[in-house]
Amino acid sequence: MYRYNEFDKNFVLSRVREFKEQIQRRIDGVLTENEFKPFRLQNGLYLQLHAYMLRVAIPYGTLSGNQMRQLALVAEKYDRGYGHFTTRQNIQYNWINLPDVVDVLTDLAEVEMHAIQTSGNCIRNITADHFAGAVADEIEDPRLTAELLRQWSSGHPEYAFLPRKFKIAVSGSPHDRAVIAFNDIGLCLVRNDEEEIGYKIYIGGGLGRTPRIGRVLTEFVPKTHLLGFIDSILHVYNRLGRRDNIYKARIKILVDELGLDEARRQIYEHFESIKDSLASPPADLMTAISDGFAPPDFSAAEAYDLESDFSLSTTFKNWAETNLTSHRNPNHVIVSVSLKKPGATPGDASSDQMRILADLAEKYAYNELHVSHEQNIILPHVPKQHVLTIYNILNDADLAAANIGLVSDIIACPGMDYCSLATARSIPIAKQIAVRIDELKTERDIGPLKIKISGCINACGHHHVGHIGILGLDRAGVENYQITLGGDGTEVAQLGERTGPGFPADKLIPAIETIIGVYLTNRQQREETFLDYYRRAGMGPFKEALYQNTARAA
Amino acid sequence: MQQVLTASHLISGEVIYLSSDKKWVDHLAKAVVFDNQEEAENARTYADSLADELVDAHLIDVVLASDSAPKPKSYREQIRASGPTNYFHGKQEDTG
Repeated sequence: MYRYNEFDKNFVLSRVREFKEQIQRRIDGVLTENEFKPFRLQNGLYLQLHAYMLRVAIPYGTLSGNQMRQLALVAEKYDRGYGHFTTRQNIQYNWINLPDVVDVLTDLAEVEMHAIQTSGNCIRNITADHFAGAVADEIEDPRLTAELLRQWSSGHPEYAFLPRKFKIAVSGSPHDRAVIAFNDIGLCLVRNDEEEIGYKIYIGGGLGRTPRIGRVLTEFVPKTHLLGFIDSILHVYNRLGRRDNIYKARIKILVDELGLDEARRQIYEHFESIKDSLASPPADLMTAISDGFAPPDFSAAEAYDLESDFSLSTTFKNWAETNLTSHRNPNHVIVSVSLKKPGATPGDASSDQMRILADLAEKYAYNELHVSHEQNIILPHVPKQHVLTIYNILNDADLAAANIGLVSDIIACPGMDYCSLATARSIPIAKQIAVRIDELKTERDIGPLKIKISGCINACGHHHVGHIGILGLDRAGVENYQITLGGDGTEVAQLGERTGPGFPADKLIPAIETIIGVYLTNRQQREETFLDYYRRAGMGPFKEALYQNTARAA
Repeated sequence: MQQVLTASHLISGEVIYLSSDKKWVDHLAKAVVFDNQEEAENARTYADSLADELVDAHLIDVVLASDSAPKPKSYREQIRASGPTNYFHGKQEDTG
């Protein structure tokens, strides 16, 4: 696994010391809240509804067992024994005291972790495919790119005060599992006609108040030009991005206002002006990164007939059907551990659960864990002979929900239960849907269906790209939920379409059941997924079923 | 309109309310309820002078229950007053 060097260590420790002084100056009254706020945000510290929340970066979602164990320790020592994994592959602690923050950051620094650039108007934690390094369809491990960009962007003096936050995601394969088209910059590793590896670059994608699908800046940029292009995009954005209006400050609005052609012209113009003076990253650095992500030695794992274990237990077989993904090595599989047990808070893991995941990684899975943007934990490389053992341990730890990609595998932001920006709660809605579908026992029959819930228009819960998206709003002092259908965060990249007027909380779960009912009744055969059916049939049948009674009453 | 003054404590981040003896208390039940706008605004101005101890002081609308305990009108402030609804954490642990 990639290891950070002395430079990174000293950089992190110097930031901890700097932030310690800033906290002290705030406590002493030297800094006002308005002066302190940008500093604390640059260190991942928010003031939420009940307490401070600390967002800790997990670069490209990759963790060692030791790091996961330290996250468990932090949860226990300074918080309430749990952490919340987020859609940017980070972890958040909800109950932090201001004076403890320095100790938390010091403990994290022991395992090369930190909270730098997890908030504020800078380049945020760079995300990547959660199956990075493990899937067969990968052109190259996207973390090589993400790590290069992490080093380039960490503490970058020119881009510390951008007009607004800036999010980058990388996919190493044509099948996008990293939602790249909905980032400020999306990078997809591709091969050109000469079989040379480079990038297709999307710009100006995003969710939030003004959702936009990323626009293709270029179909191919050679790897040697990557930093020059990223620098040029950021340069143009930093210069022209709207600083006068927070709602128009993201690059997606700049691309709207300039038009893609003009944005592209300016980006290329800047690129041309710097390209001759661009220093390529040193070869030894690139080698170090590449060595750091070298795959484990898979040769020790023997061929194993995993299906022979299915006869031992139906629950194991069911879990294997949903939670296992093919690995590029035939003697391995990718295990997705669901943090979505029906009734649980999506994305939350207790310290005990984190330690069990750390143990599993260390004992059976080459000491590697990934956090997915769908708020689950991945063991990317598992020898097939260990899968049943791992399942049994997960089962004992309440971590064996067999629902990856199904209705109850819901993305939900913290919503009004924690977040000071929220307009409605998300978590109780996710819990109710998951519990209801579990009672009905219809989940496996329904098949692939992604529900995503945001508690406000900022869309941390990715509702625009949910097959069913739910957006919680405050309507005259009452929680009200708008539903969208047909969103898709993969390479197909679609924004969901609103069904119509929203639903109060007590009518929402029946509405979701109605939507699922329309699909089950009308699908042509079991193979037609919810999304396929929606694309064939359109909004009509859903609208009719959802609002027919209202229409008659009116 | 009945109002209560609330803020977040700088050090703990915890939700606090102003009491009748100008102390900051942890529970809404112990908060002073202002019956008129002038008193409420005076308290708000007082809070501005304590900017080194607290963050985001603001007035909230409340209604008085039959036992004359104030209850926030907005569900956001109800959640702030009791704690999150997914875990039994926060203020509800003390009062529950």
